[in-house]
Amino acid sequence: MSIKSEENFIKVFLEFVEVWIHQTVYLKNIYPRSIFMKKKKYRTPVLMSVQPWVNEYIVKTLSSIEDYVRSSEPELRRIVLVLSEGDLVKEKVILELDLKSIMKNIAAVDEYLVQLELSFVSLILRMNQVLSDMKPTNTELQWWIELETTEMAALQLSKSLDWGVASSSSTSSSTGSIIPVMGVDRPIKLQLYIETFGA
Amino acid sequence: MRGRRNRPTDDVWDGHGGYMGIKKAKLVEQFKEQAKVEEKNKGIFSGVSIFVNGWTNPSSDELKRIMMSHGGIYHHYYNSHKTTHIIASNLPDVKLRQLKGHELIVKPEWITACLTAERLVDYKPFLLFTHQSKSQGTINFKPVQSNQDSQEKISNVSDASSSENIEPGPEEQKEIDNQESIQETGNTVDNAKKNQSSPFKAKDATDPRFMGEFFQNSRLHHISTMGSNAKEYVNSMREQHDGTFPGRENLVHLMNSDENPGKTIMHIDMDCFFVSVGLRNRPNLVGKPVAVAHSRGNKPSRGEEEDRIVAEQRKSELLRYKEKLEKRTRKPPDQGSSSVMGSFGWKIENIDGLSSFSELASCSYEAREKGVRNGMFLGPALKLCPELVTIPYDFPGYEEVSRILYDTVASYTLDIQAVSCDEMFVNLTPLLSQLKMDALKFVAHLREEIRIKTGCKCSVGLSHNIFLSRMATKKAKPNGQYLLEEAGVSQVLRELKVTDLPGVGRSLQRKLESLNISTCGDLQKITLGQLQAEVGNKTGSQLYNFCRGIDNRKLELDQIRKTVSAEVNYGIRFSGWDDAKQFLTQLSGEVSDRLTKLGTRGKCITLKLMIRAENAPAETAKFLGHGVCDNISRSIQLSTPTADREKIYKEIFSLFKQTEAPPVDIRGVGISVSKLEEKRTNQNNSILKFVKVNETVVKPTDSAARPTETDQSELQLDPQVLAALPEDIRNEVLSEYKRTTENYGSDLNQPGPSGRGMNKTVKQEPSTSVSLSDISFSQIDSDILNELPKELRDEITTHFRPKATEARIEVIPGPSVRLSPVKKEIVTKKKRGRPRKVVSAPCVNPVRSAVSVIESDPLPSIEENDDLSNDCEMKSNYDDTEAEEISETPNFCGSSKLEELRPLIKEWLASTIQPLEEDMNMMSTFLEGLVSNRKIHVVSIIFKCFHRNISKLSSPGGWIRSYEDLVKKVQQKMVECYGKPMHIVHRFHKDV
Repeated sequence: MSIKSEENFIKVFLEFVEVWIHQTVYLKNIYPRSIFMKKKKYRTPVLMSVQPWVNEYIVKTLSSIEDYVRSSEPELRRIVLVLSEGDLVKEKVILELDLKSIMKNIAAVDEYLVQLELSFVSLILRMNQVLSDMKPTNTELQWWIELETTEMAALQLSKSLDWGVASSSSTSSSTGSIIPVMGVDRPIKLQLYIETFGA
Repeated sequence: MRGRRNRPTDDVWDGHGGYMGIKKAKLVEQFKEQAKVEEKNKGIFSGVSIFVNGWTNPSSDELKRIMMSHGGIYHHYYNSHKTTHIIASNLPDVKLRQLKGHELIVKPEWITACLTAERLVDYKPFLLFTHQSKSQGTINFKPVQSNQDSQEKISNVSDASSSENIEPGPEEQKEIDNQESIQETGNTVDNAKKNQSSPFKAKDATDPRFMGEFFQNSRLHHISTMGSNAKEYVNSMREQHDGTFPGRENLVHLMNSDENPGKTIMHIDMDCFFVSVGLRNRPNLVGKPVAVAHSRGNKPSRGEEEDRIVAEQRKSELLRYKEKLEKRTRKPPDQGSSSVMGSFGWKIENIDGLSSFSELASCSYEAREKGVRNGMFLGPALKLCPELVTIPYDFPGYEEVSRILYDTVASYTLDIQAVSCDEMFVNLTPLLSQLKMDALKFVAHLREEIRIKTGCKCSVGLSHNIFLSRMATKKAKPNGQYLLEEAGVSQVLRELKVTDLPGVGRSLQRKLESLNISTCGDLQKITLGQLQAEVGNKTGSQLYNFCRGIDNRKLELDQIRKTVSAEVNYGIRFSGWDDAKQFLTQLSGEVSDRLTKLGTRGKCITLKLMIRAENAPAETAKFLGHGVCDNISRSIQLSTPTADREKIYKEIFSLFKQTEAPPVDIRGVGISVSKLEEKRTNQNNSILKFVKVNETVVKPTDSAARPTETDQSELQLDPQVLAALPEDIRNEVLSEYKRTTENYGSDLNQPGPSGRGMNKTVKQEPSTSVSLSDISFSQIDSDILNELPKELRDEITTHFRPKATEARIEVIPGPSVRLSPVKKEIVTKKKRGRPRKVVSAPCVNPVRSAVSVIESDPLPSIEENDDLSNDCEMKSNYDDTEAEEISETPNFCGSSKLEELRPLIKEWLASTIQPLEEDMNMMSTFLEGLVSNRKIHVVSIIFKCFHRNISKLSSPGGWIRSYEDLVKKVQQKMVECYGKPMHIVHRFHKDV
């Protein structure tokens, strides 16, 4: 039972991460709107890219994460979507979680993943709200995914994809601020917030 | 036949599934069918399978019928794995050479002897060939499992007090006992007998039927179950009692004593309970040294060489246990060995390769005279007392006698604290003073009654407290009674050994020995402080009191079961995850069944594992035993109590995975469920009642206190509340109410809602009208008021009467109302409480909110009421662990949920112009807590809420300053935790 539910959970969770990435990229206006298609996820319309290159990046990244999450004792603290303008990191959209404890407890709660789905919906909706409230950036943005995890994990992750040390971690500046988006406690602990850089 | 058997054959004829295999199976089936038809005179030959070889008298056909009718099995063809005995009167050399050496060849006279004796007699005198092991040279000798089975079965079924050593090499049996007694962790290691369904194969935990049989036959399981049954039984007797004590009528002739005996506690203990019960049916053994044990004696010698080898093996096994013990006591082996050996040396001295390791559960006083003690191994005991007779366990008998014992005592009084199936404490004080009896006369009467009813003797100790009565019983034994009077106490205690004190075990004894303490006299010389420093606070003070004969414990009359568990440490050999899963499912089911039987559910689930120690061999010396193990346990708290097997299994399995122990190395598994919910909801729930009553009272004020609705005069008084009030108070409330409509608002300038200020003022600063804002008279539950002692009641009413005016004002909605509108009782009162300690409530249930209400209850009087405050202490203890769990979530005034906080903040803002620093500090601690808990979204919402509401204020000056301070503090914390400040709006348009 629990192994199966773990399996399910991993799938569902990674799907959420995927949706979250697509939606963020969409909301940040990084690509032309035409490459996004409306889809229904968690009973909510979300926009997901249909551009093969973009998708390839996302899929590869996620499948690498998936491989890692399936290993024993995965440890993952943050999944970060970094937005930068040229060399300057502008924003980080941060999904904070404690995968280790989640994997320990997931079997026990929320067997039918009802709560999980609900929290995904609210996370996505709330993110829509916050991101669209923020000042739109007109400049060309680049984006990539970063993970915050352990060295061990880095080794394991690199098996499936070439992960490098995140360059943006060094460029932390004390200017800017943190915009909380939302936190969920049950069934799993998740927190979404945005870190902005510069004035 | 045999010649054909050994001939090289083709598969069709003799191989597996071949003609012979089918024929043999068919013959066995036929035999079984016929045996069913025969009347079942079962017993003596159950587990015995014979093969008749050659001519015999009685003839093979007769033997077949005998086996049929007495539960045995007759093999037409010899099967070296299944046949236990070969019956022959003469074997030619040819046949002898075909033997492998381990067969038992018995003369047919054995069968007839068994029949005449009506039990399985020792086959040894009937062996056709003795000492065959010598003549056959060395053989790879593996004990046949079926032999052990049959032996155990016999000990179980037959009344085999003198059937000795049927087993050819029951090494496993001995080893089982060996481990059972050396292993001191208190875990249950039991002999699981695996005979009922398949007599020829030892079951291990992978067999689905294993569990049921394990618990059915486990000795320690029975003993502990009987103990808790006794407790439950006393409880149920007390519940169903109609108030009459039939036994008392027989006591008339004893009612003559005038003197008042004072407090008297009686301790009843049956004399060598297991033995006495066993002797009820064996009058011929009365007066002889008797012991209860599984084994019947030492095993027969197998020749010097082999004996020596076995002795070596045992020595090494003992050494391993010793090492472990030393490790546990953290002493270097060279120093520790003497004391470790000293403490259980008497157990293992006198042991050689042949000694039985079966533990004596109980032994008669005749045996004790020879130096035999309970818990000794049978081997050494036999050396001390060769004529010692062992009898098997008789669990139904124990239960029966125990039940009679409790019934008898309960016919006089119900002030009983059950200790175990044969031991209890009874408070005789009320009984003796009511009936004016002399304690000793009553006890003599009682003991005689018990003796007649049960046929077993008991000893009784009397004294004025629990501890001393137990000591008195020691003096009384055997079959006596002893009244330990205060005058004699010091004398008795001075010579008492510390090991006789309750709670002094091996490790404590060792510790005390190192302090040169062996008797209570020595102990008395040590100061309390010293003692506590050595052995810990609680034990220290307990010892300090005990050695002076002081014992303040009260009889625990209502013993509530605290845990329900099931544990199996025998036969656990998982080959992989599947086995483990299956077994865990079963064990979870067992625990769940037990919970359901008891009608309770638990919140805390614990998994205990015994894992093969690193250096221990994969296969233990004891057959399917657990060997040397490391013990670990893991537990998990659930949010709601459960008794559901699926849920338990789910938790247990995830705990099991967490331990990362390889299933192959698991040697013992235990599941226990604790934090049981209280079964009887009608008891001990005074707080619940209190809260419920209050909640109904609260509602009106809730609606009344909304700041915006200024004029709703009548609505503010709940007719229900009014109705509940005593008439005079009701009138008063009504009149006051009318008056206050003119007065409200008068306290606009009162200081803000300092929680602390508020609760103090209720009592110490009566001039501050503010204080009463959160307790209007209508909120005081009249029921509770009535239950309070008179002085307190008066105090409350006097407090309220003169200030009723102000109090009313506070309740009335309007700009002046300062406090939380929703759930006034709960939220308001928490306000002054220590916010971090209060249990926050992700899901507020009545009990929890009850805790917070009581903890910081504004009624000064209630804290002085003993009953209530005890209750709430108890309740809050009950919730303590939960609190620890949840306390990580910071909370403000007990609430951490936004939906609770928002109205609270609104209310707060509306109530005052300038918040008190104290309150602001509380808020900032709360917010900082949230930040470090990484719940910044909540923080941001709270700030927004503040911001929005402050902007709405007409003169927000004071608030803006406080708000900015708050922002500053929280931003500092943000930088600490996140490296950056949060995005917070902190400009106000109205800012001047």
